Amino acid sequence: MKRIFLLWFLTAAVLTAGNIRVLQDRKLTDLSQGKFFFPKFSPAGEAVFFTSENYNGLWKLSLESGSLEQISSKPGIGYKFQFTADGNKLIYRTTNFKNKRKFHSLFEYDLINKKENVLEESVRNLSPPQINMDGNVFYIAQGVMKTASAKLLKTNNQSVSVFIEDRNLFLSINGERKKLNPLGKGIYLWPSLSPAGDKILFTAGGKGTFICDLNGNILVELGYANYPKWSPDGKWILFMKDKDDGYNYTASDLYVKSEDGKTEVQLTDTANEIEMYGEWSPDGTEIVYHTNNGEIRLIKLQYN
Amino acid sequence: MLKKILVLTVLAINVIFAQDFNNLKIYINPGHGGHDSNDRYIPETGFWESEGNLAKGLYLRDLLVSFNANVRMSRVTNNSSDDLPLSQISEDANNFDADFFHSIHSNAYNGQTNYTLLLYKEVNGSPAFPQAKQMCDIMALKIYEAHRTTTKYTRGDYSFLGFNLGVLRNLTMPGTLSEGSFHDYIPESWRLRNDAYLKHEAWAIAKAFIDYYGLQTLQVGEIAGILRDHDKLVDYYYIPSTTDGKKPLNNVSVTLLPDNKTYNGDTYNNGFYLFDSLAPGNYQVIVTAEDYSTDTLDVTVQANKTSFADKWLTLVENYNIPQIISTIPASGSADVRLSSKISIQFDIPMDKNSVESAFVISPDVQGTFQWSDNDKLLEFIPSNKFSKDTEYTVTIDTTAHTIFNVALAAPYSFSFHTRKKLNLVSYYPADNSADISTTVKIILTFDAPVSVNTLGNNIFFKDAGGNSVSLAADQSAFAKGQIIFWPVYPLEYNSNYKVILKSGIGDTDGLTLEEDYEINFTTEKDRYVNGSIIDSFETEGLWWQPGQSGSTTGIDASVTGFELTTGKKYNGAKSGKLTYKFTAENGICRLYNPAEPDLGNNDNSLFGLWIFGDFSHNVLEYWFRDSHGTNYPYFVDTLNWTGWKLKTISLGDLGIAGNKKFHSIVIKKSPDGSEEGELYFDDLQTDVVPVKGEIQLPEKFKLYQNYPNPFNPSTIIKYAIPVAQKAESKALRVQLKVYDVLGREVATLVDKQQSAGTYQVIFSPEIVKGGLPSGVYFYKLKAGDFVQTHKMLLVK
Repeated sequence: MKRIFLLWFLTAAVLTAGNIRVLQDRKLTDLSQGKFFFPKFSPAGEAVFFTSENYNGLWKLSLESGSLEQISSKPGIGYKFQFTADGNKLIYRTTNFKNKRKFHSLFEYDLINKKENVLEESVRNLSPPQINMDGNVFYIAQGVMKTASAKLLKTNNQSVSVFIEDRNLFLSINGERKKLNPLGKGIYLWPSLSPAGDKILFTAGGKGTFICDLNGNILVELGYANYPKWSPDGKWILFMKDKDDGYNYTASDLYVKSEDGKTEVQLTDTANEIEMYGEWSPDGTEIVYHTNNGEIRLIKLQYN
Repeated sequence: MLKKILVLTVLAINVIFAQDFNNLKIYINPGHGGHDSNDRYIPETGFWESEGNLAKGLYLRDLLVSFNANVRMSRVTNNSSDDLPLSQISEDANNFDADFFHSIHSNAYNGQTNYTLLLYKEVNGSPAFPQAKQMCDIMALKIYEAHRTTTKYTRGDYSFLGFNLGVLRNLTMPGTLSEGSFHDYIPESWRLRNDAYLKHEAWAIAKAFIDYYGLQTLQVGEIAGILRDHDKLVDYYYIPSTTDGKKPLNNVSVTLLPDNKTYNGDTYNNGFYLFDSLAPGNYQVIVTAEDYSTDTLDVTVQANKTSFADKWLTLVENYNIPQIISTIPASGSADVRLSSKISIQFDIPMDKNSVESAFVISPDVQGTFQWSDNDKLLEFIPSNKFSKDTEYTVTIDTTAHTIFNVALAAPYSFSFHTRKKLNLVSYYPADNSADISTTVKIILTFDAPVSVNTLGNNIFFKDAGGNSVSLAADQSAFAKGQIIFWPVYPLEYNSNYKVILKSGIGDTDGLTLEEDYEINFTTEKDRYVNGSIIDSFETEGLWWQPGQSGSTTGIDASVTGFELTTGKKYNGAKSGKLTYKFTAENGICRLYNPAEPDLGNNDNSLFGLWIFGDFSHNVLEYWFRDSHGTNYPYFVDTLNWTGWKLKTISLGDLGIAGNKKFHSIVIKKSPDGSEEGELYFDDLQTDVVPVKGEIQLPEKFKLYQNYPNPFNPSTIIKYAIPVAQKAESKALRVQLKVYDVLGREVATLVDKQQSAGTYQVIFSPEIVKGGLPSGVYFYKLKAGDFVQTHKMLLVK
């Protein structure tokens, strides 16, 4: 019996190595340029946008020219900023404090004309922008779901989105929201719809990361996998396995796992670097991420 | 009068602060959960940082909530599973969109320092959020004043540590981390074991929040203090500039006048006491401790401050002859564990040297002595384990005397006998038992923790053909003296199995079972075909929490609860999990379904619920109602099994004429029942079809014609799922949907994983919003690659 298990593991390892591999892992920014975090590809994949400490300010790095441009220095702007589907506009939330109370504003920024348009100004209880199935950017202001842009990436009869409210996992279809909570009461994090819109990827605090259907039936258990992200073709999940001692991060590496949970490939394996918060390129061949000390890096992948 | 004053005080606090925090969102992170490698433990005092941080956090939450703040915590229990990684904590705080984040910790260094430290995130030499630095300055002062540490510091994390703290790193709001005091400084470590001391720190942090937000300061204050022995010094390190060298007293008793409140202290060598929420004014504090003198202190309470009232008490001279009140092991004890220690409780503080010299154990055993309880409790810790099957006699001769130099009147002796072998105390299933669930959980209970290393080749689980059954085990049970395991796959129905225990199974004392055991049992004969499902326990919100039901009584509300879970299920993706803990012998835990589903009037119908039993021996009842609303409790069974079993009753046995409604699953504490348990429920149903003996599983897919057809108001749709073709999948995704003549989906009747079997569901057009008009409808079964559609006719 033990021999059977051993053979099975060997087979799995060969499969793993054969499906996807890292061709290159290179630095995009140097610490001399500043400490940058939470990178994200533009929808066309020609640039990477990222923020600095505490999500303050937003920068654009052209992957073709290598030029680095600061888009904004606003506080809080880098937290979960979104692009409209055509890539021409950014939707972002900024943060300000009045009498030590937190307020947010929401803006639409035209990347071509470099013009900013305010959508919500200095209000409390405003979610960061999020993106739904049909490519629309939405947000939740004082409990009400609102659409921030009407540029459609895909035409779809149904407007489907998933989001977190009061730690619950919600599914919204055509504005009708339903509390899913597939594992019962808990702390739900990082929800996202599969590119096909038929599955939900989410993390349950302390329990792991899972894929469920739109009825909340668990389909796959992915294990410990933080900040999970669907690949554009929906076949892989990118995530980080971060470790800490209660004060500080002690290690983190990036991994991908097949959407059936059976094949896992480690993308980074460095003793001194703490690699975190990866994001896919639009064509799924590259990944950007930040290290804990503030470097932005890019991984080039090869599929077999 | 006193009650009225207290009520007014509480009201006053609430009125003053009712609008002040005005739903400010505060996120509290009690650091280091779970007694695991991320935790910090001080063996000399038994202090866990996870426990101290959590207690402070819970007290702080309660205070802030009482001030009308909106508070969220990263954890409210102390398990590894809810000690979230930092990335999840920061994401949770950001999702909450907190106005402020605070992480609660205590510090450690070299055991010889005790200051207060507040940290904020620092970038390029400046605070990432200037507000965080401001809060640090306020909070450092508040905690320093409350704990009377040696000094206080506010520091940026990068300057102090050389890196940015992960816990503050990715937040969208100002965040701070408090290291209130040093838990490796032994005097402070003892104080941090005192619940009131932790609460006092929570008050300090709450006051910091009030100052930070510029709210009206508290109109109440506290009295706190430490009672110490006037003469005795501690035998561990203390900072010379403090009073920590004076021995703190245990079991302090402090009475506050005129409120007439009494604080009773603990035995954790801290001498601390606290009275909080006191209106400003003059008070008298009467302090004493077991064996010590009584003193009275006059204290003036000021609003928003702690007034300290410490006192050094003297031991009351006692010239009575000392008595030995009790011993562990008790005299005459048998089967004493080899790793036991010996405890001797005196009624008067003893002279330690004289007692240790007077202590003789025969046969001779080397060991060390420890004293506690004001030198009244002696513990002898053997250097090596006792010998097995041996009679030991302990004697304290008359040279032992009290600190007042009064000797024992006569030598005191007691004897005990050590264990000879590991004993099997109880087991489930019983030998030669029948009707055991095919998913049985086997429970073997011994009289000592089991050594895992001895189990290989000493325990077997076999079927009638002598083949080993694949099993999984509960690894946490061994330390409790239990071996708990279950088959990985369901056992065969109506088949014989045996559990074989060999004599080599051993315990942590090194003793073995010394004889072989064989436990034979037969699995249940009867199978069931699912009837009409009332609740498949796949949907949230259909049942009340036990605490919401008026009939629930005598339970621990912090433990008792109901939730859906994927961890264990009979069918589909989830089951219902009821965790309960009784606090009273007449405890009742009721799980109420407010829909009160109507079961119809068929007295021949078999009503059932799949229950994974917990072997608690508590009582299971189903509660029904007649059409007039009268309640009909029905005894179903004693919870004396493990594994899934369908617990059925015939509706005709209820004695209800006409329609019957089901509304509750009820667990009642029985005299010999366990105080706590865990039950799982699945597929509540009527019209259960019992099948005696073998059941023929379908060999192929089939969708039957609905019955009745045409129908109104409802019809039954039956279908068959054969044994899965692929070995790796025991269940198939099954969908049964209803469509109108235009091909529009009007209802989903089934959408879940199902294993081989014959199923039936009731389709009632009432489940469709707005109902359905008369006409032709189609129902389609999709299971794997199999698709079949039938037509049906609704006539209104």
